Amino acid sequence: MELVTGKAPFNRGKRTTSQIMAELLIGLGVIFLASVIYYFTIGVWYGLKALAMMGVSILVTLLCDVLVAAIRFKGDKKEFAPYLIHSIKSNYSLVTAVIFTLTLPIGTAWYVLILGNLFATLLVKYAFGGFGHNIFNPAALARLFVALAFGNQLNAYLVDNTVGGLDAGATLTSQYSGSGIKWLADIGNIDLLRVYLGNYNGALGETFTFLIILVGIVLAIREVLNWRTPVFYLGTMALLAIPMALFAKVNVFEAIAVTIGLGGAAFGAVFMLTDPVSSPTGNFGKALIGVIAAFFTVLIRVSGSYPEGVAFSIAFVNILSPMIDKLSVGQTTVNLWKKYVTTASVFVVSAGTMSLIAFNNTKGETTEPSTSEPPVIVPFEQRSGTYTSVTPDAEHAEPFTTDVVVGLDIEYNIVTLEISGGSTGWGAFVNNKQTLIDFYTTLSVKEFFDLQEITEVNSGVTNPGTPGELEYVIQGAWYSSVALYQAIKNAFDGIEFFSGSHTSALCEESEYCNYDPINVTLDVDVYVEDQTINAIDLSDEGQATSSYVNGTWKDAKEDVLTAFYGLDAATVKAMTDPAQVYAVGETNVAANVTYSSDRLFFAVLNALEGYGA
Amino acid sequence: MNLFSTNRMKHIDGHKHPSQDVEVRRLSPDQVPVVYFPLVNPKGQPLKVEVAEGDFVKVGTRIALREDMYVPVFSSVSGKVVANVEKFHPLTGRNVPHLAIENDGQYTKAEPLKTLTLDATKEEIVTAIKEAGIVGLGGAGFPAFIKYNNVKDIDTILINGVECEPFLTTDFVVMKDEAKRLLDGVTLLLKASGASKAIVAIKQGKKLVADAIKEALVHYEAISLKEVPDAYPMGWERTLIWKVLGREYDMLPSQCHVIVNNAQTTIAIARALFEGQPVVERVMTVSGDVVKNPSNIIVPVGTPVQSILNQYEIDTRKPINLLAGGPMTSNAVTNLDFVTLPQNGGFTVLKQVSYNEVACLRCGACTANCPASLQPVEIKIAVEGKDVARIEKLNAMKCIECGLCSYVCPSRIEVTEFMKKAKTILRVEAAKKAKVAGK
Repeated sequence: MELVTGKAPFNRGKRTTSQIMAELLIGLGVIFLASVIYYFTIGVWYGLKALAMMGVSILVTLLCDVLVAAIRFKGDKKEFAPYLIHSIKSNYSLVTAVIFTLTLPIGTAWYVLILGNLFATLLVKYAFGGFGHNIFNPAALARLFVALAFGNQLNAYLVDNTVGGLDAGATLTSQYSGSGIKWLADIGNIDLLRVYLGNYNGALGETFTFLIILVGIVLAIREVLNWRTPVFYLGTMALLAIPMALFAKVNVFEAIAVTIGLGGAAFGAVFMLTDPVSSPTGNFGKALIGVIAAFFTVLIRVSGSYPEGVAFSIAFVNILSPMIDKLSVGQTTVNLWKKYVTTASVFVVSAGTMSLIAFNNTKGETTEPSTSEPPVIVPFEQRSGTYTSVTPDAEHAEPFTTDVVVGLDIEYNIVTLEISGGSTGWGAFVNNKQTLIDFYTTLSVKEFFDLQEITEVNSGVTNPGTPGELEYVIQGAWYSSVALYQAIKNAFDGIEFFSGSHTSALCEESEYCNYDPINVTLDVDVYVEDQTINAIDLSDEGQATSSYVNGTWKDAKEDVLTAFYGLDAATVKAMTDPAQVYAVGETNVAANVTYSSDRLFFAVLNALEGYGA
Repeated sequence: MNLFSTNRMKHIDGHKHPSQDVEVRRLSPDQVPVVYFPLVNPKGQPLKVEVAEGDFVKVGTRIALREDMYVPVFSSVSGKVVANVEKFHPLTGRNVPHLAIENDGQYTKAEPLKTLTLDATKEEIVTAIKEAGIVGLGGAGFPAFIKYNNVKDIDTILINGVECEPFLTTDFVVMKDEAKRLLDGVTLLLKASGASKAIVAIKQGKKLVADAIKEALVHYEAISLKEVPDAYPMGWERTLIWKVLGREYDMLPSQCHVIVNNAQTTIAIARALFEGQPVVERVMTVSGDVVKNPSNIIVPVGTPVQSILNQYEIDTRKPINLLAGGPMTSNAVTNLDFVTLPQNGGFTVLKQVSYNEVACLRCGACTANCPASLQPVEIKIAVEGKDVARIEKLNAMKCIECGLCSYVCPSRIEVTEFMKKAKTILRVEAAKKAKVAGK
């Protein structure tokens, strides 16, 4: 018999690293599958994009593996194939690709996806020595990289295929960015169940919190990841939410639920923070980074302006891991009190800091819920009208006069309607007056003109049995409905409107403009009275809509519009340069919103082509 | 489940049933024509030989004495002493002279040793154990009486019947049949130490042994049975004391008022002191994945290993590892020219396996399970970085080389090797310092 030596021990457990990675991939696969199904329910292109994103990530990462293996290989060309296969199998880059893809939203630009994967695999992983030697979790750091470098290419919707109003809305989480206060405010109308079931748009894999936690539990039982890190992370986040909620006087349970459920916290906790290579090796270290990361996540979310608190805090504790290891000396089962004291201290510091911040940010806010009084609307212009009804016979009513004061906003939408006089004898009108007011205040002046005219003759008045199907005719109150209509019409006497449009590029690619230069069309209705422009009504499409420019356009809109108001229509019609309208003295009111204001100018010109003709 | 601490043990596959459930065999005399006894101690120092070539000896005749710790050696057969033979000695790693005795097949017994009764004094018991040459039969081979020599403040005797090494079942088969003798031995140890209580510890799930001991226990006071979890290395005395009594100690169990003895050692003490029979034969387990008919077998002390292996069908088509003991802590021997000692528990014969080693993923499984509460992964990193100060701070010398770190490592890294390297580095450093200090 051939007796050979070896190294004790001569048996091994069944668990291998490849097995661990395979089970991790299965867990990730489950989440990816759920994500793909969700996106297919939104639209076919969405589902396909999700699948394609994963495919591209895996392909790019595989190519990186081949490249690095080729660089490292020193030997006979014939032996490269087995070397390559061994290298791919033992570096587990596939896991990084999958995790990274799951942290990106559906509308990520392709080049961002590719660059992110290259960054993760080549730089964060291989440049540091490959599997087992990377200091940072590659997926987390790459996520940070793309957020900082290409933040605006990470859309929660497909740019050329927006479906069901997905565009323009920010992700649920980014609504929470910019103003960290939002984390301290009441959750408002967010449906918690929807949040935890992932029925909203965020990153591909981050939204279905229930499933992530379930997969996390299974993986912890299978010893694929150490349970301490995610439990201490989510646990500390939840515990920190308590003092914050108490100071901000919001519902504690809801605050905890939102803290854990939004922003990829659960996904980061289960899949990125638990990366063993970038974590400390001991049980205590793994728990401690959970606590520290939770503190930083909450701090960055509330005090900073990034919803990406999770990725930053993961990178930060990755930096701390070597130091935590270095400080862990001696035997692991002695002096446990030191470990408890350390953890408690970190937690107390975190809780104290977050409480202070919460207190600072929410003091001075009233605690009573707002009353149900609607805010008072001040109309831009008020017009009066009157109408005296002709009664067919004395049986029904005395002749009566209806006076109205119509309040219009800056775009000539009816916003208020005050009615005085009118028939009081008929209960139907008095009881349903509000219905009519509600109806008319949804209209613009033009839409009012488009209504079918009602008079005593055609409103069904002479034949009360004929049902009128118009919303502004109240059954049993024919005269009053007609009177109201006519009074408003009288108020608008003298107003003409002209419609036009103009199509132009939304913007040019620049550091300020984050959209592809697609064309948008602005429709306008220009109201002219006594040869002067009274008001302009703009369509919603065609105005600047991105969240960045929204602020600027919103601020400038009033000045831009009112620059037109009062100008002689014929004069404007003959203009050629927007500056002729907008440049008032030294200032140009359209200085920061040139695209929208230029578009408006040319639309107005287009509308006025019909004027004076 | 602990928050920040570690498990200190792990369940591993036992592979016990193949050899446990089978009838115990016995080597016949014609299979052991000659027995041999090494004439050096584990340090390589020569023994004092008390018989000469040509002498006729019987089973139990004293033939040599290990002088450094006073351990008499007894013949395991009756027959003629022949010329010394050089054979391989695994404990020192080289060929040493062995006393050879021809086996006449009669197994004629010599005069029994002086026996005693239960009203013997403490000192008499310790002396009797010493004169009987009882060594720790759990594998260490340490003279048993030393643990009881001039010992004070012991309150508990803990009997280690755990046998945590996979494949080995010798303690099991012996305990099952010799429960009374075991408890008799415990009674002697209680007297020898002055302890007030004794606990016999066996693994959970060993019903036959548990039943046998429980049945015998009714006749004894101050002794109880404790079943401990089936985990490795539950048989290490530090782990066992912690699990059974909740106590920790620094260097020796006597520091926490406990003495631990292997179950078979205890049985041997009972046989020697009550019946005058020293250890002349031993139940050994021969098992392993290439052994087609594993079992336990009773062999005389000093049997050449080849004779034992000849009784078994071993699949030798591929290279094999022959381990003198269990797979976790034993080394593979390539030289079969050696003989069995009383403390050898058996042989494990395994197919050679090579493992695909990948990079350490810092999962911390080794740290989470180390019974000595060390951090093997950190020690490995310190060894690779040649950071001697850090190796020292990480208490590498406390490693008992149980092999659990390598067992749990998913990357199949030879972690135990790194621990051995670390200890070597520390020993070299200590030697250097001693040399400098000595100057």
